[in-house]
Amino acid sequence: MSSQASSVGSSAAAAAGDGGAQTHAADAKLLADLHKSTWLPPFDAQEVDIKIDRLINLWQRVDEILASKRREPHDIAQLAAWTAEADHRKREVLAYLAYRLDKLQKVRFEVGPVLPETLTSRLCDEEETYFNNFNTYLGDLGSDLAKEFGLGEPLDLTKHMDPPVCVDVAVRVLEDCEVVTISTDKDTRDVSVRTTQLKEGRVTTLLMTNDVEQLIRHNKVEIVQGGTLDKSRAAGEGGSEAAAAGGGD
Amino acid sequence: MDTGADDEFLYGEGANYGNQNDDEQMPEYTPRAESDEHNGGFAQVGGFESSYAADERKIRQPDGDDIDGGDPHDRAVAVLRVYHMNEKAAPELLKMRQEVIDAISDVASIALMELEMASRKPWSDFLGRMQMLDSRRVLYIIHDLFRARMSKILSNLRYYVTTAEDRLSEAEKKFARRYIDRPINVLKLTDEHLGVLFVSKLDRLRARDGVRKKVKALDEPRMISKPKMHTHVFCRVVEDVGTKRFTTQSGGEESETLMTGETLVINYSAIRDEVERGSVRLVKARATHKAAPV
Repeated sequence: MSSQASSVGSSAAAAAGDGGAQTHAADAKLLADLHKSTWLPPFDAQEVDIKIDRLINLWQRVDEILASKRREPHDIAQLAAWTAEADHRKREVLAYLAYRLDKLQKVRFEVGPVLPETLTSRLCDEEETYFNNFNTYLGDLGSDLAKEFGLGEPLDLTKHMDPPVCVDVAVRVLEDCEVVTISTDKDTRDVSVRTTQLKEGRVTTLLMTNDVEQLIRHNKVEIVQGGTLDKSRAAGEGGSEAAAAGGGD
Repeated sequence: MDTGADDEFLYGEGANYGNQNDDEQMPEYTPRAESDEHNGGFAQVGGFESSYAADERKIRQPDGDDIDGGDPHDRAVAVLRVYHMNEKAAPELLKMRQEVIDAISDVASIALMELEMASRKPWSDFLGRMQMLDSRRVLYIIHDLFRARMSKILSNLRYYVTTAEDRLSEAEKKFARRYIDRPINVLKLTDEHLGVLFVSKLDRLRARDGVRKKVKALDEPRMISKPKMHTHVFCRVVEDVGTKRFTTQSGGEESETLMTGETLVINYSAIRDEVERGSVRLVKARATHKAAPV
């Protein structure tokens, strides 16, 4: 019995060999790169293909043993080791893809429906397609919620990201932009729509509307006094990372 | 001495002497967070009614226009605030009671209308600006509530579509089903994405059908992420519950006595039903409210 157990143990060790140390180091690279990056690293299609090839190779070997109906201790040990490694690789690849999807969903709330070039350069075509579809589904969700709950107008979940601290806020303009204001004259009741041009470098006080909130999120203006806009909460934990990633990785 | 209305203006919603007669002397400022039976079991902080107590009082007051009745709009906002906090703090998606659905419908339309009216008032109109601030607060609660729900759905897609679909509203069901398919024979958004980048590449595998199916599977039970029901949460007991027995994550049995006014940290699975019923209210650990200055 003990010799059989030891033969199984040594078989398992041999089965898990086959360059195991090298592949474990390569395993760590795929997921480690995700955490090293400020937002997302460029999609590593080559590494993913290597992992999938290894996965296919392992399962083919498993299938060969199962089909042969061999049940020697060495074969059982190999089956155990290979299926465990195959499961690990499958989870690794899916975790890599799922992590990237999660970041994409969160960045939608930070930068809006159009991703800047600095971020799209890190995505593969399928991820860009996913982002565009997510945009669409988010909009549809807002419309459906509005109909279901009788809200009147479609719900834009990317607005009202922070609890209002104050009504107006002093901002410094970082780049030329404009903000639209609608006002009613209290005597004549005339409604006027005014577009205010904001020149770079000026400090001005604005009513904290959704438009101003978007200007702050897109770094066109910055808050000087009178309120906070927590960008890290805007898109979950990785919210401000996308803004930092815009400057390079 | 300021009246109750001025206190709300100065110190925000909830600050009033609602539990005291006008003849009573104002108590000294003593911050505490414990049950106070003389004042109906509501905790008071600094002699002023806390926002939590204010919400509970508004929820429990019957609707009506007389002096003893509460403003229905205020009550709806209080219901929404309590549900919002519960949804943010709970690890799972909560069922939406009809009371909450009605509250959302009531307050949203009013808030949007008031916001539009207030935004058109002159800059110098102080009450208009306060009205705008209040409306934005309500809109923030509604938007954040649905964002929190959407986040939970996306984190545990397969779980909610396959096991807990009764917790989703119709709009959320439609949204979730666009990501995964049930059963899997037509690929939807997430499955389609994973299909192109992962599953389709496994076609090269030369193996028997059983093995191929297992390798390509995306919905094995152990692969489905579920809400962490044994997370510990901060909660406040608003109605006596008595002794609750529950099973911990390690399989052990524990019990806890929940009495009105208590604030405690507890395993969420122990109070899950009470949160749905409204007997226990969840509190976000970082949530703070400032006691009114004397």
